[in-house]
Amino acid sequence: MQFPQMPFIDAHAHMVSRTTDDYEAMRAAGIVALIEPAFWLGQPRTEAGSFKDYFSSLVGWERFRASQFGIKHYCCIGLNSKEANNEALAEQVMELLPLYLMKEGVVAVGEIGYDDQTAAEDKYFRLQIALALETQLPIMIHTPHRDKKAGTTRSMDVLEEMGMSPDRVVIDHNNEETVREVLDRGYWAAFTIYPHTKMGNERMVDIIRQYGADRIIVDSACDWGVSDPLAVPKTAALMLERGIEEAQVRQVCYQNALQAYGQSGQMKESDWSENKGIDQSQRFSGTQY
Amino acid sequence: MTYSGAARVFGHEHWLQEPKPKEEVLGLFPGLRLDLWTQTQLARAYVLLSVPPDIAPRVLKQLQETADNQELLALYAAFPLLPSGPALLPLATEAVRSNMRNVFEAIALHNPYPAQYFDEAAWNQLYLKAAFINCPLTKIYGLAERANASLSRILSDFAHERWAAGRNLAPDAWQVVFSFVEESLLPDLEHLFIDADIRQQQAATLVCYQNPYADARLLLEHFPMWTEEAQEGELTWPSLAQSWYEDY
Ligand SMILES: [Zn+2]
Repeated sequence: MQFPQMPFIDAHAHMVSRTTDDYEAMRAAGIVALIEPAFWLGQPRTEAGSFKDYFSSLVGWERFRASQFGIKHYCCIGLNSKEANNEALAEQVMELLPLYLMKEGVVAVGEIGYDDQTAAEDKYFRLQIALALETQLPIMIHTPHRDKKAGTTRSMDVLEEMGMSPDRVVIDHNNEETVREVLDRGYWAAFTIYPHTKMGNERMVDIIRQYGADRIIVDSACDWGVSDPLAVPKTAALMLERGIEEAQVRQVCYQNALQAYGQSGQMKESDWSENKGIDQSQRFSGTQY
Repeated sequence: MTYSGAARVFGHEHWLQEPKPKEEVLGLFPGLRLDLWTQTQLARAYVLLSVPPDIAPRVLKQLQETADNQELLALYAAFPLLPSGPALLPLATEAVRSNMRNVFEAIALHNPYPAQYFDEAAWNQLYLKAAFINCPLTKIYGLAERANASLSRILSDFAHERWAAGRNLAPDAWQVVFSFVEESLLPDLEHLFIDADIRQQQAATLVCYQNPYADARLLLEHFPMWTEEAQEGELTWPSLAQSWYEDY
């Protein structure tokens, strides 16, 4: 497949679940930087130590792995809503978070928000909004897959109640039903392109036609499930093919993510534009020694 | 958090500004290339030095377990400055196991800590790993002092594996064998002398030139093509490294 000659940012990618083939393909398709939000791993964690090692790998090993392929890796640190329901564990994870939020390349608290919209989820969502305010970090919101519209509205209500400024929050996993309110209330609206379900890239073209490119971000959310790490460049190719202006494509597939998460002070264009390309010297010739 | 936050205050520029004499800084801690440190690294070393030595091993372990890439690098590079000395050994050998190249290099290169505290097995692991991943070996501090017979034997075995695969070792890998040349190593040296790559020949020249063993001298007489360069000091391990590694 031919991808447009422009740089891309995948603003939501769970690379711990992806292979080096994915990294190689992403770089070849023009992805220069990506953001990996902390999330759950499919298998529920039962120990705080598992979270510690996971957060450490986001700022350590995964960052290094990406650099071997010439991709600048950023991350969001947070307690996801699903695992917030294990309260005994959640308490310990909350104590870990401050250790990581001040690190270089941590661009937001995230992904946080609601899953089942339980009382425990609400409690840890609020505590983490307070942490974001304290550390002056943006927030990445995971909106629930079930009861999405109400859950998205509720997320924004709570954010505003806590005094978080909408222009420092990216609401992710939007669809046609949620986008208008999210944009009207002043938030960044991210769309996750799923290969078979939910948002497909055809629908994305219509959304840009209807809402324009301001404050809209396209991402892949590629993870351990069926997902496509090339969703961003593929969607860009389709948009151009369908006559969306190149400047708009660049906005939703690159510039907006940089602007939204750049508010952390931890993400600058010079981080990759001054990069000498793929740092082969950093690559080990085998898997381990 | 102070340790992490250092990067928000200080940049990754080098701290040493001209005309501050570099020699003066290098003389402070032999083996440590403070001149290559960034401002953030220096600030982090300062934070580490403020940890009381009795709790340092515990605090540094927690730091190691929660550190990002650059934080790990600054931690290990500062080991020779810290008063806890041998108590940091478990952390230091863990650093050698790192799969992040820059983290491994922070403990292995321009760092006097391993030469001072590692036992022979740990030292040999460090050297071999550096050779495996093509690190400039001359940047390891204390090579001559820590050379040992076992390392020469392991290196010879490693060279044979590489040769079987049609590849060579970095020529400067051989610099640790010079005092341990005995009968078993002579065929290896001969192999180097007849290699088409002159840098392999030069490595053999330097080993034989620095070695008092009579058979090594004989070998040198047999393959005299680079002896003069070695005598005149034009051919040295660092000069050889320079010709081998891309950005030495
Ligand atoms: Zn996600």
